Amino acid sequence: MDKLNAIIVIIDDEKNIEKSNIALFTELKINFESVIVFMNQQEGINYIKNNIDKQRMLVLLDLGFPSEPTNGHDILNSIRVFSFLVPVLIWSGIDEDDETFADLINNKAFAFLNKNASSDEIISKLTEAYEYADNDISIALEDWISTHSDEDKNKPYILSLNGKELTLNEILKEIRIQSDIGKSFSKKLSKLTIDLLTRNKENLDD
Amino acid sequence: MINSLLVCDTSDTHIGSFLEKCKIQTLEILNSVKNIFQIDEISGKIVFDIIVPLKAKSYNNSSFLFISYTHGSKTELLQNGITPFISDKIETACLKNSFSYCFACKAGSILGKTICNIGALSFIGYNKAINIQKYFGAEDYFIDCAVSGIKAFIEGKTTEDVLKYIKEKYNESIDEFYQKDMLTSSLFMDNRDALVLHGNKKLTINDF
Repeated sequence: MDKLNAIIVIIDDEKNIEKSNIALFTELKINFESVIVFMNQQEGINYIKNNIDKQRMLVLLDLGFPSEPTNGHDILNSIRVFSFLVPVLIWSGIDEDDETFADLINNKAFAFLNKNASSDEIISKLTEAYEYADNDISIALEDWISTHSDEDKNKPYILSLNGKELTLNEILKEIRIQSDIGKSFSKKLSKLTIDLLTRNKENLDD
Repeated sequence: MINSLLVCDTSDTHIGSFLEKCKIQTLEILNSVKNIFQIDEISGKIVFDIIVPLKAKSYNNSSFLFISYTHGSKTELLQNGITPFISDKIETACLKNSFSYCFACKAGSILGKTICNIGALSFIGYNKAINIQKYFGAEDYFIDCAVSGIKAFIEGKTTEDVLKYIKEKYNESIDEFYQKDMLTSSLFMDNRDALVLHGNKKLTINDF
């Protein structure tokens, strides 16, 4: 099977995580382009932020960071400040009965995986997240905008006759944070697809 | 001769150059028919809210053509996006007996209906915000769509068919762009879907 074109970003403070999860890491490297682990929270967040335009990322995020003032909830929050389009899977040994989920749901965590989950379970959920992202119209739009040059991305793309202007970069930002404006572009594309289908310009078969 | 009032906000900071191109193309269309249109152009820094109603009143004892490329709101046509020169509260009556063709945001929502209620023959415009582009190879297509209704009207189509013609023009642009620039294609679609016609649906140039 071909590797899926995504980097698995793991943010977890567990020392020697790779050694203690050999089977999982072997499977991850077989199934995905690469795996990168960050024990330092901020380095992990910065990596995601700096590489968001470059390659699809799937994040496995621990919740408990006993030696840090902030935890996985805060990390997810920080990621969602700049993008809701990066799938984040919670991977935690914390007792689910003692955990709060409301903010994780609001911040669109893709799944909750127990640290004891099998490699197959984790790979299966990551693959599901990849496929979900692959079919998400907002991510398709993000990918398409990212193909433009920096110069083009800074030109006004839309000029409204009610006086508003938006560059591609501004549109990209709105799409990533899934603001009402950002969502409206995704809706436009869904509507366009239906329009093309109903006017027989496209069909659903390849 | 058909009196024609062509209003264009060429001095607008953001979209003035685009609107100017619409105006030039509209003049070409009107002038392509010899000795039919008496064209009065209002553009640049002229104070629209004084001149436009004044000119319109000088024409409105008989049918005339009113073409406007400006900013707009649900109830107004605006100069530089700020100053109303036609609104549903003031000077609406100056457009009685007009066929009003307005490329402006949202004016088709309320203003278009109001104009027709006070005696305009027909109104074609947009009931939502409309968008254009200048830098990604689509400007000419947006201009073509914006002025296409005038072309269809002078060819003798009814206002109902003019509306269909503009929509078809937008469809052509959607189809031209969707494979290379889906977002631009969706802007054409939104503009198409905001088009509205109020008043007489069977009006033609022969009624002038």
